[in-house]
Amino acid sequence: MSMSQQTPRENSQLVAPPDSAAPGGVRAGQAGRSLWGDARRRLLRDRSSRLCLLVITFYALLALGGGVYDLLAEHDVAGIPTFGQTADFDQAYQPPSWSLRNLLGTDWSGKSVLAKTILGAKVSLTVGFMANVIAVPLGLILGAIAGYYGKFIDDVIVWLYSTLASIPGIILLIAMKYAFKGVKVLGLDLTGIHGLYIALGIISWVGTCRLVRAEVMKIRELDYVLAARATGQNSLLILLKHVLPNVMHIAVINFSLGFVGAVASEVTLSYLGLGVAVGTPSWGTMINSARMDLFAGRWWELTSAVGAMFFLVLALNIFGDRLRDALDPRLRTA
Amino acid sequence: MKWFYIISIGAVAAMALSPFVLLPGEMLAGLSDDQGKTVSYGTYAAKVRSVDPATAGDTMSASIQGNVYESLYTYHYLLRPPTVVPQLAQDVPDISPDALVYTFKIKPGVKYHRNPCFGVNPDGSFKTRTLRAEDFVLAFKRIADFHLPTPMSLAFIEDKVKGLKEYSDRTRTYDKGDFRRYDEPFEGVAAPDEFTFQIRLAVPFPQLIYVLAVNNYAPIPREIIDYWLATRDDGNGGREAVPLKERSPQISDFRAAVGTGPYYLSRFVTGGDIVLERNPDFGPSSADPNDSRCFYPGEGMSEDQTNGLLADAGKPLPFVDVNRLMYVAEENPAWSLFVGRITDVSGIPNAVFSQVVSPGRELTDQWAKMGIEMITYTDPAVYWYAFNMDDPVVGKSRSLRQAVSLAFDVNRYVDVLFNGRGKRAVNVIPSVFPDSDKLPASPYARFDLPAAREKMVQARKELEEAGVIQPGQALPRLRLDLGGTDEQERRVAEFTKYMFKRIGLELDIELNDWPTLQEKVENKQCQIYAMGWHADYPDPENFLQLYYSPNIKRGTNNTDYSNPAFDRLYEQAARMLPSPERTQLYARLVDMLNEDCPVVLLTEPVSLVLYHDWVHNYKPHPIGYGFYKCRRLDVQQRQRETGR
Repeated sequence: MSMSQQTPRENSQLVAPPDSAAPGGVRAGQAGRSLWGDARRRLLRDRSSRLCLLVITFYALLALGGGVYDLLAEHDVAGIPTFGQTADFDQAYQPPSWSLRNLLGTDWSGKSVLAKTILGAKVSLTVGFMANVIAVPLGLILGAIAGYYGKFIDDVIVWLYSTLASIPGIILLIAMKYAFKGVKVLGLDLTGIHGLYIALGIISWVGTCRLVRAEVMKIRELDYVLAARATGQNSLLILLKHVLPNVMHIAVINFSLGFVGAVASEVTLSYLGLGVAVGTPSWGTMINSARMDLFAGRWWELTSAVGAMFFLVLALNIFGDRLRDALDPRLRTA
Repeated sequence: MKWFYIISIGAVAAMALSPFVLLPGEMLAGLSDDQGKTVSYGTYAAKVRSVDPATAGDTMSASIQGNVYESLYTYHYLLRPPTVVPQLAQDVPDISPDALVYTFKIKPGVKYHRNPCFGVNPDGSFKTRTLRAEDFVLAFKRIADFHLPTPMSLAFIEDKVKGLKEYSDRTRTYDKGDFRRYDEPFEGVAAPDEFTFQIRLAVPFPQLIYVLAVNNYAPIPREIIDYWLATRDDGNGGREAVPLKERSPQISDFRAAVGTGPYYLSRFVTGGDIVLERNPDFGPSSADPNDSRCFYPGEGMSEDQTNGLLADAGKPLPFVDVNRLMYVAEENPAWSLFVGRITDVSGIPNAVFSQVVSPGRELTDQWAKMGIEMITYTDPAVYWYAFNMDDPVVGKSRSLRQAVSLAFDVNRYVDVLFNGRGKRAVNVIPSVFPDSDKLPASPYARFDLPAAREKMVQARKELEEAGVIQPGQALPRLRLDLGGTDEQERRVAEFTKYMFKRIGLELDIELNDWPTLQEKVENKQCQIYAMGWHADYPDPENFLQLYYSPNIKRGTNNTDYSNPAFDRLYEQAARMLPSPERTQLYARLVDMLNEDCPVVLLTEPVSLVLYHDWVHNYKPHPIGYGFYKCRRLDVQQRQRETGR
C-alpha cells in the first residue's frame, strides 16, 4: 500500500520491536515511559483537560447517584419514593427559588427540575456509554479485520459502512426506533432505552471503523509485523498482539468523541417522542416539554436541561480533543 | 466588491423575511376572486378523510360535509338540549301503528348544487335538478353496498331496516365496479312517488329520527354515479367509460360531492386548503316559500336573546359567501393566526390557557380589550379508560376495576392536564342529555384513596381465587395504551402512572398514534386503553349500546362487556318510545354498569372557544353539523380592525 511504503522510517521511533509489543507496552518518545503513561502525564499537565475531567467525573457521580436512587426506590428500600411519586400537583410550575427542591423550579406536575436534571444525567451518560460500548468495539474489530486481511473481506466491510454512512443518521435512527417498537430480545424491551442503545450503537461505529482500517493497513506493512509474519505466526495472533494495541488510542479517542454524539442523539430522539419510556426523566423529554411551557413563559425546565447538556458536551469535546492530542502520535510529534 | 456585500445582505434579509411574506400570502390566496364577497377564514387540525357521506366516520369529515349535504332532519341551531327539526323532510314522519313503517314527505323544489353530472347549459354553465325521493333510496342502497366501506353509517341501521342484509348479500355477487347493483330492489326503502320516501323496519327503532339527522344518510343523485364514478375525462374535453376493474364506488373527487346544502366545495386538498362557496341555488323554492332550512331560526333559549343570537331571526341564509379553511395541524400556529386576526374563531392551546382565561373562567382583560369573545360549552361526550373484559387480570376482578376507579383523582386530572376544561363524568351518560339527572351516579366515580385500598385487598383475593396470582405473589404489572404521542399525552401517561402507583399497581404505558390504538383495540391487544364516545344523538341508548354484547362483533362494544341481564333489559328499552318507564329502565342499565365498572370514568369535555367580535351568531352545536350558514361576519368592522 502506498501509505505504508513511505512511513516506516519516520514512524520507527513510535513502534516497538515485536518482542515488547504487549498491550500498553508501546514505547514512547522518551525512554522508560509507555505511550499511555506519557499521555496521562500530558493530559494532567494541561489545566483545561484537568477541569474537563473534573466536570465529567462530576456528571458521572451524579449519574451514579441517580442510578443508586432509582435502584433503591424501585425496590422500595427505606420508603424512598420513585421519582414519579415525588409529584406534588399543588406545586406545579414554581419558578426557581432558594430552596433545594425549587432551586431550578418545578415542572407541570410539581416535580423538582433539579432532581429531574440530575436523573437526566443518568440517562444521557448511560446512553452515551452504552452506545459507544457497542459502537467502538464493533468499529475496532471490523476496521482491524478489513484493514489487515484486505481483499474480499475489506470489500464487504467497506461496502457495509459506505452504505450505512450514506443514509442520514437521524432518519436511520428514527426508522430503527420504529422497527424496534414492541420487539423483545433476550427479555429486553427494545421499545425503550435498550433499543436506543442498540440503534445508536449500530449507526455510530462507522467513523471508528474507517480510522482503524486505515491505521491497520499502514501498520501491517511495518517491519515488526512483517517480521512476525516471517516467523510464521498465526495471523489472528499478529492482529491481536501486534496490531490492535497500536490502534487502541483511536478507540479511546472515538469513545470520548462518540459520547457527545450519543448524548445529543438521545436528546433529539426523546424530543421526537422516540427516546426513553414515559416517566423516565431525560434531558430530551425536558426540552420537549418546552414545546408547551415556553409559550407560557416557563423557561426553567428548558434552561436546566440545555445548560446541563451544554456543560457536559463542552467538557467531553474539549477532553476528547486533548485526549487525541495526547494519544495521537502524529499530533504529538508535530 | 461593494455590490457583493449589498447583494449578500439583501439575500439574507430576503430569506429571513420570506416566511412573513409568503405565509399570509398563501392564506389570503385567491383574495382577488373574493372581491365583494363575505369571506370567513378558519383553520382545521385533522385531515378530512372522506367527501362521501356514506363513508364518513370521523368528526372532521362530518363537519365539512354538514355544509355540503343535507339529510331529512337536522338539529335546531339554538335550542338545548339538542332538538331534531325537519330539513329536507316537510314534517315529522307518519308512523304506522306497529311502529315499523315510516313515511316521509319531502320538500318540493329543493335543488342540488350545479354540476356537470346534470348536464351543461348552452352558455357553458352547469345544470342542476330538484331533489327526488329516489335519491334517498340510492343513499340507503350505497350504505348497504358490500363494496363500499360504510362501518359507521351501517352500524346505526344494521339489523333494523328490513331486507338490508339480503340487499347487501346481493351486491356482493356483483363486481366492485358494476353499478347495476343499485337497480336491485331493497325491501326496506321505497319511493312510492317523487316526494314520498318510505322506510320499513324489521324491529321498532324509536331512534330512527335521530339517525336520519346524521349526514351519512344524505340523498345521492344517480347522476353522480353515472357521471363521476362510471366515466372519466378522456383528455379531449369529453368523457369516456371507466373500465369495470378500475371503478371505485366511493365518491373521492370533491367535484363529485353534490348535495343540496348551502355551500359547495370549490377547492379541496387533503391536508391543505378547503374552500366552501355559497350554493347560488340555496333558498326557498316557489313551492315552499317558508322553507325553514333557508332562514335563521326565530326561537332560542333565554340566554340567546341576551347574547344577541336572535337578532337575525327570519333572515335568509347563508350570510357568509366563502369559507376558507387552512390545514394547521399544530395548535400553536393556529393560535398565532387567530391572534394575528387572520382567522375568525379559535380554540385555546393549553400552553397559553392561563394567560387567556382567568381562574374564574372569564376571559382576561388583555384579550377582552382586543375585542375577543369567549363561549363555553359541554360536549355530549364521555371519556374513559376502558378495561378489556376478556383480559385475564382486569377482566377477572371487579374489585380491581372499582379500586382503580376510586383511586383516580379525576378533578385533579382535569385541573392539571386540561386547565379545568372538563367535568367529572359520574356515569356513562353525558350530563347534557335530557333526563340525565334521573340516572344514578356511580358510587365509584369519586376519589377515595382509603376505600380504593380496601378494594385492593378484595381484588387480591379475587385474583387469587381466579388463579391469576399465588398467595403472597406481587400483583402483575398492568398496561395502558394511549391514543397519542405528543407531550400532552406523555403527561397524561405520567399522571396515570402516578395514580395507579398509589394503590400499589405498577403501570406500563404505551403511546400509540390514534389509528394504531384503534387497530389494537379492534384486535383485542390492549389491557386498559383510553377511549371515549361522542354522542351521535341525544338518547342514552347511544351510550348504552356500547355495552350490549351483540355489538362486540360490530366493534362498538370494544370492552367486550357481556352481561345477559344487561342485554335483556337493553333490548327491552331500545324499542320503547321516550317515557318515564323507559327512563327507569335506563337507570337500571346504568346501575349495572356502575357496579361492574367496565370503564374508569374520566371526563365530559368542556370546550372554550374564542372568536373576534366581528363574528356574529356563533353558537357551537354539541351534535349537529352544517351551521356555517348561520354565522354572520361584520366585514366593515373586520376591515376597521385589521385593515383588510
